[in-house]
Amino acid sequence: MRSSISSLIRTGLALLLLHFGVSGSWADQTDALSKLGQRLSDSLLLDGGSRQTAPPKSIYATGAAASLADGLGFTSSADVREQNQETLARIRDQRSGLAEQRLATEEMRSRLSEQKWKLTDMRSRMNDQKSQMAEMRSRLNDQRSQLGDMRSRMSDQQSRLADMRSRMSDQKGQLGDMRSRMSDQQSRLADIRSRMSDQKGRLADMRSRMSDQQSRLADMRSRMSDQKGQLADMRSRMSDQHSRLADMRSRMNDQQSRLADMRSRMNDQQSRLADMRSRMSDQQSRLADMRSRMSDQFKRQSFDGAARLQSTLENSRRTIGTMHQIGGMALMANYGGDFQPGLSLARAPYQSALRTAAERRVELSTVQTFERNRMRTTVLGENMRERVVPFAEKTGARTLPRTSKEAWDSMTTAQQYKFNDGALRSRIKEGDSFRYIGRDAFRDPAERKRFDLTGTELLRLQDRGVPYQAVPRSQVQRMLPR
Amino acid sequence: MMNNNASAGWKGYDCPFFTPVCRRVLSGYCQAQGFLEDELTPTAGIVYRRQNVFLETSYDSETGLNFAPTLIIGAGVGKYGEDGRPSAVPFWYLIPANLPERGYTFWKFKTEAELESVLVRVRHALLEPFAAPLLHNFDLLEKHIANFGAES
Repeated sequence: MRSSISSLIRTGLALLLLHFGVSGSWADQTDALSKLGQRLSDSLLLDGGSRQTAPPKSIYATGAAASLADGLGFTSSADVREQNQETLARIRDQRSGLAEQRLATEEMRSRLSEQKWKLTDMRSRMNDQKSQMAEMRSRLNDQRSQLGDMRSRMSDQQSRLADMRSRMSDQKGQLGDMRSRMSDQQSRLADIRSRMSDQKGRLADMRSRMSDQQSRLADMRSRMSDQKGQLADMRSRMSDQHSRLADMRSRMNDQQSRLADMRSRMNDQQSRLADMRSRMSDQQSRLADMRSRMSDQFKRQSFDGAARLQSTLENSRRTIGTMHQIGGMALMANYGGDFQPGLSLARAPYQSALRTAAERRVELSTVQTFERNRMRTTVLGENMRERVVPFAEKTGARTLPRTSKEAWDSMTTAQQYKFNDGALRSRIKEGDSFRYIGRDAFRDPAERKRFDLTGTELLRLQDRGVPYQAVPRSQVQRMLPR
Repeated sequence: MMNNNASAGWKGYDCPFFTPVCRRVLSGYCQAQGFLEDELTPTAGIVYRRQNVFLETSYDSETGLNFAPTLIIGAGVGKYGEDGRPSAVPFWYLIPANLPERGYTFWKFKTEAELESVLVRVRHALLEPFAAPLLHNFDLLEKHIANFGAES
């Protein structure tokens, strides 16, 4: 690039120098030759078309042409003419040569001009190139400096990379270690999850048990509340007993004082008493005899009275039967009217016996009702058909009544509670004592929460201050079939 | 006289069709497990027995026309021992509280058809999953009975 540019520059400079050098000398020569040619031509024209023998002096007298004419030596006109013609031919040749040279010069000029422009263009390009080169050099320097920086950075990066590789190697080792630990942790986690599942199952089981325990606790609390009420009742009774005891003590003190008086009197009367004892002993033996006799007599009278009543009734029945038979026979024999008085007579003791029997029956019914009510017990508890009813049957007690199944089913729960409470109230009014045989262990607590008649019955008794006996479980079990 | 007074009215609460329907639905399954009908309860429920183990299928008779099934599995002569403690365990004690089968005591029935569907459900949802493991594992059954007896 540089060599081509420099060769171009050199060529351009050479052409420029040639142009300036040749153009000056050639301009002078062409000018002289043109002037000379003009003179020669004028001299030829003056001869009238003939050859000119000598050139006019004026032509020779001035300038370079005169010196040239002197040099030629004007020997003869013919010679001169030949010489002139030769000269003219030469001039013509020179003119044609000059014209060619002119053309060549013009061409050279145009080329030179073109070269000038090219040169100028090349200079400008060279300047541009130089500036670009300078810029490129500066850039190159910058690039070099940047390259240096980059190399230093690369060096740093490489060292860092090596450092990172070593760290990565360490990290890989740690990662492998962590993976093995994670595997262990996952196995432990699975183990913990399975344990948690078991624990959840146990927890659910414990919750259900807790629920049962809570229900039992509530039951125990209610029982405790009952026991507290009973305890308070007992305390109040004990307080009454204490007051009575104090009263009795005061009375005893009085009695003791009186006793002391009486002792003194007793000492006096002991002698009398001894006599009286002997008499009393006699009287007591007589009294015992009388009691035994009276008891026997009472029993005999009772049995006799009942037997007599029974025999009277039987006799009367037999008599009536006989009379009916006789009457029937008489009616059959058309003697009905004759037997009427006898029949009336026979009816009298029978009717009397009937009246007495009716009176005795009323008495007996009254006594039996009293005895039955006095001895009646109502059994309370859960599971009527398998526990309460069999226990009541075994112990001669009774259960609370229940309406028909259809009627019971048509009631609302509140109505059922109300019905049961009415039955309980009537038993309390009848003077029943109450025995409680406890809950049925096999009954679902959830069902009991929904509907608990027995618990309500116990609460009613407590509210009304009616005591009940809780029968021990072992005693209950002895009475039940299974 | 007293006996009649004590039970008067309560026998009318018995379910008249429980025994035949129960025989029709459950006896086959119980026989397949080696359990034969042993006796009837006072309310005409059926007690199936295989040697010392028994399974009582009955109902709560005090709820009027809305009967509910009762299921008890036990070991020994009856539901209670000599000391009055339970020698059997009800099914509601064996079923976890979070399962829907725990509420079987509320599966009510009024008619034969309803009882039949309830007993079919009892067989598939209660006897097969919860009774079968105990019927052939006496130790487990005794453990459950002991736990229930301790808690009741």
